[in-house]
Amino acid sequence: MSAIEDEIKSEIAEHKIIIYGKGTKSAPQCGFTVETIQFFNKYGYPFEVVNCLENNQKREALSQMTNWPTLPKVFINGDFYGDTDILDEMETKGEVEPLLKKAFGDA
Amino acid sequence: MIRIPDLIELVQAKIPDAEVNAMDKTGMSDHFIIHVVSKEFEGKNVMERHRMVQGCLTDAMKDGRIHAAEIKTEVPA
Repeated sequence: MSAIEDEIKSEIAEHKIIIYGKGTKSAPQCGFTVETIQFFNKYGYPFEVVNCLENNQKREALSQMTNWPTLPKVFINGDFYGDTDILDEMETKGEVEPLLKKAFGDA
Repeated sequence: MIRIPDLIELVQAKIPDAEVNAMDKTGMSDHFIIHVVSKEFEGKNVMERHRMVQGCLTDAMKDGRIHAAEIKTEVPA
């Protein structure tokens, strides 16, 4: 296993919600990253945003680990949930809130 | 940049029964909202469905014809 994969795994373990995107939380550089940040802002739980624009190696490693070609990529409680296309569908079914409550031990 | 009919063809090349609706999100012909209806999605979860559609677009995403695609999938009623 490469060092970059280890780094990603420890980031995912450290943050209950982590968004690998383009830009930072305060200065996102892609509309989809903005949408993802807005999505999680609604719920009020803390989340981390990692800027992959400055780290192509991390971006490549993430794509391989997830078999998912695009950014942003969202992990909740260590599991991969794709992007807001997936999360919006889960939200419609009422699946997001229980997932977050469980992740943060509020259930 | 890609024309919408070409984009639809890319999806149907791998998911032949797909009914595809594509919308140019920004007017720049590289951000799209793609709605795909296919029997192939039956019994598959949302991640698997998205991976199937992404698989149709891999080359066009790699060479930059498509920058981003918002994907919605559905099984025919």
